[in-house]
Amino acid sequence: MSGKYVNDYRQDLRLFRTTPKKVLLVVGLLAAIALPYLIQIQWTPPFGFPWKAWAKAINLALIWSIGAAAFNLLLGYTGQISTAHAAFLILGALTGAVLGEASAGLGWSFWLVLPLGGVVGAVIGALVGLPALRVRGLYLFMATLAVHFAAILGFKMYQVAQVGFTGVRYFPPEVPSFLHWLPFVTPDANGQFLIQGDFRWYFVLVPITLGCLLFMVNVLRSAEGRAFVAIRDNDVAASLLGINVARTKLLAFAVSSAMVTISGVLLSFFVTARSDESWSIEIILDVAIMTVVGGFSTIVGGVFGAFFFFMTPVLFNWIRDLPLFDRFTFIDTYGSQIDLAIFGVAIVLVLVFKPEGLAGVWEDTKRYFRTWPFRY
Amino acid sequence: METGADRGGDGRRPILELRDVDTHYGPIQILKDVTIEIYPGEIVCLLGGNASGKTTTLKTILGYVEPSHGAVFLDGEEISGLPTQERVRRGISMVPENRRLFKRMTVRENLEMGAYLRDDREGIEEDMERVFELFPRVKDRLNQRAGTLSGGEQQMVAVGRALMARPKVLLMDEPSMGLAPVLVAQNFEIIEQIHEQGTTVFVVEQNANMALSIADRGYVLQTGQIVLADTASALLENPEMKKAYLGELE
Repeated sequence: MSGKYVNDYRQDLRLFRTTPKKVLLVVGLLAAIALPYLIQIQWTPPFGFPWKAWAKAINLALIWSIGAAAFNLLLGYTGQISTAHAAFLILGALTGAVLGEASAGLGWSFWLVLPLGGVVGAVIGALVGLPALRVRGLYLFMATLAVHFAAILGFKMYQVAQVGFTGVRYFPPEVPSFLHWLPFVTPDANGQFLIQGDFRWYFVLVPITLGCLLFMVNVLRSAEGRAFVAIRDNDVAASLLGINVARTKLLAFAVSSAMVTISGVLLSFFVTARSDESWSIEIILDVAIMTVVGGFSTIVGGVFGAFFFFMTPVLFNWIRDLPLFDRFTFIDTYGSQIDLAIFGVAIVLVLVFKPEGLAGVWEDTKRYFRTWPFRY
Repeated sequence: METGADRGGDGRRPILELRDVDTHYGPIQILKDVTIEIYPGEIVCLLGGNASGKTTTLKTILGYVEPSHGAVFLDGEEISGLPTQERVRRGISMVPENRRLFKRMTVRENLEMGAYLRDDREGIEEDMERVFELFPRVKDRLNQRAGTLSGGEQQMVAVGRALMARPKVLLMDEPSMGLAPVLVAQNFEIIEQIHEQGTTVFVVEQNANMALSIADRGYVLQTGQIVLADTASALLENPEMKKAYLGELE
């Protein structure tokens, strides 16, 4: 209970209800703008704390936030487990490769390809969701697994036919010309407005990620979102109340897939190169780690999970070079395995001690300060 | 479209009617020539033992299965062939067996889900108030998760949720199922209560005594066929009925 009461629907529907929340929102936005400037500062923190390394991790976390939140929308809210998640990243990469400014692409603008990726993802997503009308749980898991390999095959066929074995290269997109007047938009050394490097990408990714997350939050707040949850909790009762279960399941698949496809377009243009070997089945495990650690059945959980997932290895990378730790050579030898072990331990700890995940920790923190200094 | 005929001589038209319905699951015939009429304001019960076709009758009304012969009419319009959600929109609502609440949603959210197909905000709030009048205890538990309620309270929420759709006819599937005897009695009180408020109720039950004590009329289903159809009081007195369902020894 926050002690703030609402008297009508309009108040009830506000996303940011209280003054502290609004303040937090503004402070958060300012911090988000300041962050890359802070990271750019030339200094060497004590013990060689990785400073620059955050930039890439944060950008990747921003991109994967969308995917993790979309996974949560499908699994956490609608109760549909799909292993076709990575397939839509591939679909995004393929859309970018075919239509966008890539090795053998049609050269359409990134800003057109991005929403198109969403449309393509929604359509294919609805098709992939069709098995969900017949099977559920583990069977749906298996049925959608096939989509993953079909997508890899599709990407490989395109790559071999159009590009060759080296993989598809994606060229940096340009800032649209109507935004050039903005004070912080400056041309690079060649007088171009290309988006490359972690610093510039950050400012592109933040609004897109926020937009996608807000979209999903709002879908879940709508009647359709309530229908998602109804289907997860009890699909028989849901259909008795007049919910078109089939349509609603497909809608959940479409929304989730559209979001993942958009993040796939972002990912490929951000990392600039993709090949058929960029997509392992582990991706679905990565997303599952983000979802569970971040917080099941919350959109913000996906964000927390993504940041945890990409920042932990950076931290660990630093720790293992610290004096004392650098004596244990096996830490260096098995670095990535130890990263995985950390994730494994983190999942177990979360499941045992905080099933709500990092999002739950965040709620607890807020509650603590709301009632500070009194506890109850 | 064919319209339901006036029956009973007094010009009343059934609100819900199954006419000569056969239903098959694959090659197996479940319902044979079932005709049921429910008039506005009535409580009608459908009695029958295990595997007599009670659930299939409900499924046929709701459109989970389609009759292979015959048709279902709601308020004079044929509804067989329509998808389930369209039938719900036209005024059929059901309290499912074992309640089937959304356990992780709050009581309020459960009730709101009942009004999923409606968008008249004032009407919804009005009906919400009506549910509170009917079940004051539900109002006390409004922000509690439905799964944390007692069995009796959950039944109230399930009925309240079904009423939120403002149905023309309310179907109840085995309201006595899995409940303690005292709750079964309470449950039938609930049915009587909502009936007094003007809702037409169709109860499908195994507990013949209980159902007939509140119903106006009853149908008895046996291996997919209607074998008896009469007023509730006549059924209670019917010797065959006593022998087969009411457990009375001669």
